[in-house]
Amino acid sequence: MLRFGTLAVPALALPGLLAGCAGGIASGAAGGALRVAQTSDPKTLDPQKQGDMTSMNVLINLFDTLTTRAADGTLAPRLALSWAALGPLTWRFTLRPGVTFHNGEPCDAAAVKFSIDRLLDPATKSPIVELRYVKSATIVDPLTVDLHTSQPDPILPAKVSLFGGVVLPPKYFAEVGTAGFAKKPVGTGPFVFDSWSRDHELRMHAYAQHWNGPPPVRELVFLPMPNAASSLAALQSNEVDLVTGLTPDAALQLAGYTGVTIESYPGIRTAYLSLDTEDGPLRDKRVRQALNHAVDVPLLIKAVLDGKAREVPTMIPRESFGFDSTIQPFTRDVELAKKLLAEAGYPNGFDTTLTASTADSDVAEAISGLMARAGIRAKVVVIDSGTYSTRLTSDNRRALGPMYLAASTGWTVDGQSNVQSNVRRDRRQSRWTSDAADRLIDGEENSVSDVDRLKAFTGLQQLLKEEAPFIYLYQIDNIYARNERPDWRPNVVGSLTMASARLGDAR
Amino acid sequence: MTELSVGAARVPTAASGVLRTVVTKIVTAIIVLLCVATVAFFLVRLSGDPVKLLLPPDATADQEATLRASLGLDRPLITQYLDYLAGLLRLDFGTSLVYDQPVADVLLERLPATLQLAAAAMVLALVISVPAGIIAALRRGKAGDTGVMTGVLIGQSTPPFWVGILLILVFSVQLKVLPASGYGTFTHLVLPSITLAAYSVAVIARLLRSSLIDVLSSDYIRTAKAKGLGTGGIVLSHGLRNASLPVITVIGLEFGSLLGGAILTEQVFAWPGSGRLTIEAITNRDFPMVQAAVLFFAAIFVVVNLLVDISYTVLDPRVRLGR
Amino acid sequence: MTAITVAIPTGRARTASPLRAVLRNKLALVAVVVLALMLLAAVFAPLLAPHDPNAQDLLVRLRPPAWMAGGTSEHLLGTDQLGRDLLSRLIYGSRISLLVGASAALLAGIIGATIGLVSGFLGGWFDRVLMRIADIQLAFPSILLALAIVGFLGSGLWYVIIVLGFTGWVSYARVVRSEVLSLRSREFVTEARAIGVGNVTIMRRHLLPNVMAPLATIGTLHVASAIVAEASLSYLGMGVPKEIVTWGAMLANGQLYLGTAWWLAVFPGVALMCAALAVNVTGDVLRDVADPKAYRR
Repeated sequence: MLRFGTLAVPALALPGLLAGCAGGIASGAAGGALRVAQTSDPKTLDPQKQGDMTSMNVLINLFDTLTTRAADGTLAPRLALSWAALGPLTWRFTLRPGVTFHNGEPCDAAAVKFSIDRLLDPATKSPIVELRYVKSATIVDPLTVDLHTSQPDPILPAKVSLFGGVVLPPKYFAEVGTAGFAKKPVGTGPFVFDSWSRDHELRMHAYAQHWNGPPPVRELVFLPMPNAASSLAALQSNEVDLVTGLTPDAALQLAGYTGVTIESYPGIRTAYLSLDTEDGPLRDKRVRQALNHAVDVPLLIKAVLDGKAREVPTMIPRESFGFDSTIQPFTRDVELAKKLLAEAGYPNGFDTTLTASTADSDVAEAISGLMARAGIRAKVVVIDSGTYSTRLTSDNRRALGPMYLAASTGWTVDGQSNVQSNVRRDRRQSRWTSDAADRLIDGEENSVSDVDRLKAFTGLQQLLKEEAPFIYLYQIDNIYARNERPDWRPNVVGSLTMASARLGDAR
Repeated sequence: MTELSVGAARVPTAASGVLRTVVTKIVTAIIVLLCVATVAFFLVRLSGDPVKLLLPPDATADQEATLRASLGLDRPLITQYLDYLAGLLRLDFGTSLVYDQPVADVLLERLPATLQLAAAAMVLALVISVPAGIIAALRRGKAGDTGVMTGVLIGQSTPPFWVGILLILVFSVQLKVLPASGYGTFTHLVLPSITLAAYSVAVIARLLRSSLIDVLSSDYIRTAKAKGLGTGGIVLSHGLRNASLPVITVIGLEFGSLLGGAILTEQVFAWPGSGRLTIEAITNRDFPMVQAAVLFFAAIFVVVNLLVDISYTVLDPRVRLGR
Repeated sequence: MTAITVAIPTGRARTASPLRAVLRNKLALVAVVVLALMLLAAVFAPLLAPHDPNAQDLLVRLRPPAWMAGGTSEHLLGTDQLGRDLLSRLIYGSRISLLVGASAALLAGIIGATIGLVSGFLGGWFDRVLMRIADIQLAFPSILLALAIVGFLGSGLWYVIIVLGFTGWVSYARVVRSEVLSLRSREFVTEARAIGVGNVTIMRRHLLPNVMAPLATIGTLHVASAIVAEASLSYLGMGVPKEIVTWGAMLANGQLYLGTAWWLAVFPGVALMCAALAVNVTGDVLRDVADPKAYRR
C-alpha cells in the first residue's frame, strides 16, 4: 500500500510538470521571431557613441546609413541615392525621398546635417574615427547635402556605409535628449526598437513603413551568448536561430550535433599581432622579422583555425582596395628566425608577454608555441573581452603589453581602414614611428586618384614587410551556426543586416 | 536490520507522544538550518575581505569605502549577523551581483527546472531499481542476483556525469535523435533524467534487495511458505509491505544525493536549474547568490528529510531506535 | 585471530555457489592488478608518460587514437585541441585521483575512528548528539559542502582533500562505534577499567587494534567514492588548480569537442571507472577476507 503511494505521487506529478514545460520556455519561441546571438551585448544604443562591430551589428537594423555594402561587395545606395565629388574637399549626396523615421519624422538633408554635426561635436566624444576629415555638412536643398572635408577623402562614400553614416532624427533628439535617445532609439531602419534587457535580450519588430518595404522577419531578437557551450544549449532549446561571431574553435565545438548547421563564408576581418617597437628586443627590425618567420601562419590556419582563414602578407585583405598580390607573405623558416635573432644579439631568444582576449586564447597559445620554436618565450596573458576592448581603445598604447593580438574589420573594404589606427605615429593604436610610413599613409588617405592611391598602398605594404612592425596573420572567414529556420547570407563585411533574412518555417 | 537510523526517536506511546516527537524533529531541523546559515555567513568573511573581492583590482580607496558602507560592512560583526538573520526571515537574500535582481527571485525562477529533473529522475530510478532489487532478492545466489549486483557495482564506480557525456555521445552525436543540452520539451528531459537517475539506482536496488532478503528470511515468512503460500503472493503481501518502510527512508535520503547529482547533471546538459545557477555564481564570484544557493539547497534538503522523518514516525510507531 | 564481527548490517547471503567464488576471485585478481598498475603509473609517471602532459604541438591537434584513420603512433590515444598527448595526461592525472582518494580516505578514517571510539566507548548524550550529526551529514550531499567551501574560500588541493575527508567520516564512525559497543562489555575491557587504566589508553591499546580490519574495508570503499568526488569537482572547475592535470578537468574539456573528438571525453572516463571499480572490488575482497561469514549490504 505504502509502496504504491510512494510511487504514485511522483508519477502523477510528472505529466503535469512535463505538460507545463512543453509550452516553450524560451523567450523568443513565438512564431515569426528571428533570434540572433552575438558573443556579447552592444555597448550602447546611441550609434555615435560606439565604435565596435558588436554594437553596430544590432544598430544597423534600427538605423539606415547613407550607403551600404551589397552582397556582391559593391557600394550601393541606401539613404543616399547617388553621390559625387564636387571637388577635392566636397562630396555631394543626393537623398532618397519619402523616408521617415520610426516616429514619423521625415528623413531629409536637415537630419543628415544634424547627424554629422553631432558626430563631430566634441561634446559627443564619439569613438568613431572614420569621419575624422569631415569638417561640416551643408544643406543644399531638402534632399541634397554636401559634406566638406579638411583634406581630400577619397573613400568617404564607403565610410558612410556603417558607423558614422547613420542618420539620426533631430526633432526626436530635441524631445528626449541624449539619455532618452539611448534608452529608446529611433531611426529609419527596417526594424523598430522594442526593449532591451541587458545581458538578456534586445527586441525589435518590423517597420511596416520602411522605404524598402517591411522586412520578411516580423520580430528580431539579439541575445548575448558568451561561449560555444551556451550557444549549443540555446540552439537545441529553440532559444536562438543564428549564432554569429564564431571562432573556428567554437565552430568545432558546435559541430556534430543534431539540429546544428555550420556555415562559413570568406571574410575580410584581418588578424595581426601588434608589436611595441619601442620595447626592448622589439626595437630591432631583425627581431620583428624573425618573429614573422617563426610564426608559421599556414600551419596555424590548418591546425588551430580548422582551415577557416586565409594567410595575408601584410595588413590588407585580398578583397580590399589597395591589396597588392605581388607582395608575398614571410617565408616560414625557424632556422632563419634563429639566425636573425642571433644577429640582433639574442642567440638564446628572450622573454616577453603576449596578450589576448579570452575568445582568442587558443590562437594565442598556439602562436606562443610557434615562437618558442625559435627561442622566444612569450607568456600568454588572457583578459576578458570587455576589459580587452576598453584597453585597446584607451589612450594608453602600452595597456596591453608589448605584444597583443588584434584584428581590424576593415569594413570600408578599402586598405585605408586596415591601417588607419595603427600605422601613422599619431594614431591611437600606433606603436611605430617611421617617416616613410607616415608619408605613405598620407599618400593613400589624401589622394583622390586611384592610381596614386594604389602606388601608395604598394609602397606601404613593401615597407610593412621590410620593417615588420606587426606580425601578420590571416583574414578570417565569417562563421555561423544555425538551426533549420533562418535563411540569410552575410555580405563580405559580415555585418548582421537582417532585413533580407527569411524564416523557413511557419512557427 | 537496516543501517538507516532515523534519529533518536522515542517510542511514542500515544498520539501526544507522536506529536512530541514531531515537534522535536522540527525544532532540530530549525537548529540545523540556523547552523548552516551561520556557517555560510562566516565562510564569506573567511575567504577574504568581501569588498576587495567584489571590486576590480584597480579600484581606489574611495570606491572601496563607498562600497563597504553601502553593503553595511563597516558595522560591527554582530550587527551584520543579526541583520543577516533578520533578512533571512524576511526571505531577503540580497541582490545578485551578476543579475542585478533580488537573489531569491533568480533562484526561485530556476527552481521548477531542477524539481522537474529531480522528479523525473526519481521516478526513473524507482522504475529501474525496484524490479531489479526484487529480482536480485528472489534469485538470491543465482544469475539474476549476480547480474544485478554486478550492475550495482559498476553503477557505484562510474561517475554519473560521465554517463551523461556518454549518453550525449551516443544519442546526440552518433544517432542524432536527442538534443545534447537545453530545455523545453520532453526530448530535452530524457538524457538528463537518465543521468541523474544513475546516482540513485544502484543504491536503491541494493537496499531493497537486502531489505527484502532480511524480511523474506524471517520467521513468519517461512511459516507462510510452509503453509503453502506461493512466493509471488508472499512477496506482494508481506515482503514488500515490510521492506517498503526503509525504502521510503531511502527515498528521502537519496533526495540529498539527487540534489548533489542535479548540480552536476545540470552542468553537463546546460539545464537551466538552480544547480547550474549555483555553479555560475561560484565561477562569477557572485557572493550573495552563492550564500543564498547553499542555504537554499540545505533548506530543501532539511525540509524533505524532516517530512520523510515525520512520515516515518507517524506511519510506523514501531520505528526502531538509532543504533 | 580475534573474532571480529563486522557489524555492518543488512543481510546478504554467503557465497552460494562455487561458480561465484571463482568468478569473484578472478575479478579480484584483475582488480588488484589494475590497481597496482595505476599506482605504478602514478608514482612513475615521468618515466612512463611518452610526452610532457602540458607540451603543445599544433601539428597534431585533435588527432584521433593511433588505431583510427588520421591517428599517429606518436600519440597512442590521440591529442586534445592544443596538441597535448592524451595518454601522458591520463597517466599524470592518475596522480591526483589516487592522491586525493587516499588522503581523503585517510583523513576521514582518522576523524571517523576517533569519533566512533569516543562515541561508542563513552556513550551518553555525547554519543546521541554525535550520531545525530552523523545522520544529518550522511545524506547531505557532500558536493554541496565542497562547492560551498570552494565557493567561499577558493579552490585548491588541500581544500578538496579536507572537504572530502570531513564529509566522509560517518561510515567509519558508525562501524567503529558498533564494534566498540560490542567490545565494551568484554572482560579485557572491564578488567582494564577495574584496574584503573585511563579511557584514552583503553581506546588506544585495546579497542583500536580490533577495529582496524573494518576500518580498512570502509577505507577502500571510501577511496573509490573520493576519487569520483574529486573528479566531479574538477569537472566543475572547482577542484585543484587548472595547471595540474586531472581526469575531471579532462572530461570537462573533452565534452566541448564531443562532436569532433570523442576520445577526449571517453578515455578519462574509462580511467576513472577502472580506478573506482578496481578499488571497490578490492574493498569487497578485503571484506570477504576479513570475515567470509560477514553480513554485508
